[in-house]
Amino acid sequence: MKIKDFVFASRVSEACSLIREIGDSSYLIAGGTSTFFVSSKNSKVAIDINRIPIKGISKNNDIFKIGAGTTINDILKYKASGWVLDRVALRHVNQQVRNISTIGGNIARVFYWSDFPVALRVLEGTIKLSGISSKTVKISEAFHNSTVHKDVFKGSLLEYIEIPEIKKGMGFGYTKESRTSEAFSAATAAAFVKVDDGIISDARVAIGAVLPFPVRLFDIEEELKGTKAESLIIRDLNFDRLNKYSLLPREGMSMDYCKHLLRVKISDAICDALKEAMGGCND
Amino acid sequence: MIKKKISFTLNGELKEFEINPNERLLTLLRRNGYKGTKYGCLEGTCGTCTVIMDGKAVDSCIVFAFQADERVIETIEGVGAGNEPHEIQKALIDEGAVQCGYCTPGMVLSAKAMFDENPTPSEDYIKVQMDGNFCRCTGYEKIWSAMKKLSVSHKLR
Ligand SMILES: Cc1cc2nc3c(=O)[nH]c(=O)nc-3n(C[C@H](O)[C@H](O)[C@H](O)COP(=O)(O)OP(=O)(O)OC[C@H]3O[C@@H](n4cnc5c(N)ncnc54)[C@H](O)[C@@H]3O)c2cc1C
Repeated sequence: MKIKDFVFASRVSEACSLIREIGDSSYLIAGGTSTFFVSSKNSKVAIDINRIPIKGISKNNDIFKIGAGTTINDILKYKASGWVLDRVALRHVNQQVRNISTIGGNIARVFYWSDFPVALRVLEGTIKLSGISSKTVKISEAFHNSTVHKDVFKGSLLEYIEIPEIKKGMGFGYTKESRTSEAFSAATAAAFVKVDDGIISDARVAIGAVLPFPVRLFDIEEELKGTKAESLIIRDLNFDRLNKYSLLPREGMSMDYCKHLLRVKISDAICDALKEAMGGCND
Repeated sequence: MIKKKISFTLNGELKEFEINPNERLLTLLRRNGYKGTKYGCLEGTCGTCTVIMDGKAVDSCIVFAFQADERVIETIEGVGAGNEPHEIQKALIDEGAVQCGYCTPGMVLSAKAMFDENPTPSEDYIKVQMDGNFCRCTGYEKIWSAMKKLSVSHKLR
């Protein structure tokens, strides 16, 4: 993608006016690291949004508020009880890319390999966008599928993301398989579980990288709910359900290998989440 | 293609540059004589073009030149001097951690950003902070060892 001109925005309202003014040839630049992977026939006018104060992480009651301009490295370094996105950030490329790329850029345009959308799909919460109108949208709605996602983000500036903290009795697991630490994911899985009296009362599982857009595995979630919270349960999960997705094996993998890898990654994510929910440390 | 002016602090001096909007920081620096910033993969993987932007190590090959406007940039030309190397450069020399030397400027800048933030990093911390710099000669052990020695020496405190 080529940039033919650039402008700077210092406030949300200024960025929104610029998006309207410049129209289809505008391209918001946070870290700008996506521009290698976006092809466009026409060159774009970059709206640099780095000067807008939408950076940083805060916690209010049980909710984390993450500014869209927060870098992946700041997500990695942030420490607070119930904070789990550092585990996703640690697997993100390398120090130099983590220092410049932002969570907003990672979720506003979803590539098959995008790390954070898979995690956010199981953590739930909301996103706040400004544009023609201001809106707060549930992550489950905004990330329902790629068409809905594009519509939600079109012409809008993402201001922040809010996710609930992981409390006692809850657990989160995130697994990503890549050929090297710098390579894009070949299979990503994330899981959230809530355990009450030794029984899984809530479960969310999502996969990415093997599909153009991350999906929630509602069947597997239903299977998990109501069962005893022990890692052995993953032996009985019906992974044949993955057959209904048109999986896209990466890195020259066969379809069989891809399914096997996915099964391992999903199982690991669920086990990690269960371990944390049962009181083990999962760092 | 239009040309535009930007300015930023480069190695402690405020400078103005005329740029092409599509230009990356790497090419801007090199065509202005800062050739210690090396061409490598040109896609944000190898780290040989690393510079420090507002205190953080970044790959100048993936940063647009305009993104440097009003920021503070440090290149290898601003770190130490031939007859007076920086402590990081001394540590790498003492440990024999330099072979062909192509990755070294980027390696030094990633290390500098790390030590500026944390003068006594642990081994694990060093490995995470240096994970974006490839070296095809040394096998990394001597580089990490130089960093570890520098960390325990407390010279950068
Ligand atoms: C070498 C390399 C390896 C990579 N590997 C990975 C990887 O393993 N996993 C991964 O997930 N990503 C990877 N990426 C992609 C990229 O680093 C991430 O997606 C990054 O988080 C994007 O953030 P950014 O700030 O650079 O986004 P930008 O490039 O600035 O923006 C990305 C998109 O989001 C839009 N946007 C940005 N901010 C906002 C906002 N606040 N509101 C609305 N729209 C916005 C932009 O207009 C653009 O369409 C890699 C990139 C490189 C260069």
